[in-house]
Amino acid sequence: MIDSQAATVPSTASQRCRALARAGAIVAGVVSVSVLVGWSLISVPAVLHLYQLTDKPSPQAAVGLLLCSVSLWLQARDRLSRPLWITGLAAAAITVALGVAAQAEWLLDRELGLPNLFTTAEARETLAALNIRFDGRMSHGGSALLIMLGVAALLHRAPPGPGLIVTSVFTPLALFLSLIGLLGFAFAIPSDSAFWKAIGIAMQTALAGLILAPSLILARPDRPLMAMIISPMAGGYLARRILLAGLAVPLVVAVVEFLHVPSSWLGEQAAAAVLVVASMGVLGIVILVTCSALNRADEHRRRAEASRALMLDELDHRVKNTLATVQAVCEHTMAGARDMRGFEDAFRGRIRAMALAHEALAARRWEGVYLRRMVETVVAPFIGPGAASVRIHGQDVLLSARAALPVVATLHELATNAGKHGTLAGPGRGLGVDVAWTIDDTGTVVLDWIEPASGIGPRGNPGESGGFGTNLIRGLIAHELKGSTDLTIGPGGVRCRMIIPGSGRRPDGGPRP
Amino acid sequence: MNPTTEHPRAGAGRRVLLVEDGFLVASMMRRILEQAGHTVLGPISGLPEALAAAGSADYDVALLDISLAEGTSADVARRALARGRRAIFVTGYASAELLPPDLRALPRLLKPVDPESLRRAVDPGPP
Repeated sequence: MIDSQAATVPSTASQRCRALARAGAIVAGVVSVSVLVGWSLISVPAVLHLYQLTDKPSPQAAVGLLLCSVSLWLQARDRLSRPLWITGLAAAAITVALGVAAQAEWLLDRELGLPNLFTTAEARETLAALNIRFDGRMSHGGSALLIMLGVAALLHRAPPGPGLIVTSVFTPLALFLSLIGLLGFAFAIPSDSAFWKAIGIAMQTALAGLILAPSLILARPDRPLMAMIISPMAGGYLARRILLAGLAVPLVVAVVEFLHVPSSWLGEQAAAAVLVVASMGVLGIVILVTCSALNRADEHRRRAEASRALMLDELDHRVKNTLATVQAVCEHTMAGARDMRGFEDAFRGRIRAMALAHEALAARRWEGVYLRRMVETVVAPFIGPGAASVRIHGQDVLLSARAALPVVATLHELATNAGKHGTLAGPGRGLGVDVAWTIDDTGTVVLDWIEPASGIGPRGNPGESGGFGTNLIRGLIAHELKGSTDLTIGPGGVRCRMIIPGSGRRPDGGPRP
Repeated sequence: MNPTTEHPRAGAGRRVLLVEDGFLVASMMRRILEQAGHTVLGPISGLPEALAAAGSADYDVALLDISLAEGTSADVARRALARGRRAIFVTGYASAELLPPDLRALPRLLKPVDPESLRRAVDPGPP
């Protein structure tokens, strides 16, 4: 049987939670052992005298809490093996049984002689000599605590469902019960009062319960309660701050009250007033600090949402512009095509060039494209094996995102024409193309496309859709980049000079993609 | 109060001031309009040139791409309206909210532009 949580990789936060739970189990175990050592098994007189000052922890409670601590220590692991789990379950079951037995004693109103199981005759005699009244029964509160903690430990691996609900109710209840017990001591409630008759938890029992209950919660960081507290979201932040302050402030107040610090300085009433105001102040500050942090987080979120909305608008705009461009390319290509085949080739080539530019831009997160790579990619489909080559001269330049599409589209039309009628046409015949560029300090790129005279005569007829292609070469860079293109077709070959203002920069020593 | 109905050239081909910074889209629109018998001024891609043309050129309808590289063409539209000319926006933004309030009532053509809508927007025909 593999636990669902064991199958997933535990996060550091979960690992820390479980380590803390094990540490809590050890501390609670030590507290319980101290009861057994001082009280029942060895009866160390010094510890007995200490216990005389407080209430009398019953040995059954100490044994139950010790077993519950062991159970928790065994089970609070990232990867829980079956033997550990079963041992843990057995220990927890005994804890529950002890709690139930104590309740039975109250219900049946008869002694089951449980203390004799866990105490020595010598210890009982010492007790009698010290005149400590010990009626042998565990208190209502103590046994309830044992049952709740024991059940929570039994249900450590309970899947979501009734089991989880029971532990989620029992662990906080056990925590509150222990706290009430401890606060009863802190506020020095008289031992014959109704409070102690109803609750009656010994200080050591309450202390062990106060450590065990949160440790049981910590042992399952994947459950809703803990998941909320360790969550990196705003709710987790709030829970960590407010919960800590909400629990710690009253506790500190109680301890201060217990030590009679302010009352010895100010007198009873003034001290009470000062404590109330001080706790209000501390809680108020914690809440204000937390809320301002939440506000900041909320503001970040809102800003992120607003920028996402803007980005979506921009994306929508770009997509529509791209669609409009595709539509325009389609219309122009249709107008220039003689037949379907001609349209297909020309349209496919133009869309491919647009896609190439987009791809290169996206690869560099729209920072720009490397000119050399762009030229190589655009001309690649026009160079077959053994065919003429394209010679590139010029130090590499990073072309701005804005300039990428127009330059690529222009180069594509030049390459298409060269592939059909010019120096790239056909293996053996082609003389190739020279592409050279320079860049000046203002970022203006001057790019030359030079096809030597091909020997197959000047291109009088640019061919299908050539009219539009030539228009594009002559007009695109001028229109969109405020640059210019000078295209001359003559007996000396084809020369095209593009002047692309303020669109390039030298890559600053960075690696080429 | 349609200014074109009172315009001397009503019924004949319109003179269209075309402001659009995309070369391919602009030349497609120019071809569609020219085939429909209109005369096209431009296309103009720069905002200063568009503003100058809107203030001085001889045209009936201004066809304006909203977002240009140097800013929006809102002032171009205002200048055209101030001279009693019609202005039509062409945009990829679906929402009118990005426009200043005084220009939201102007007709808008959504990109990609349907040729028939373009023809009808420029020449709505006899009233």
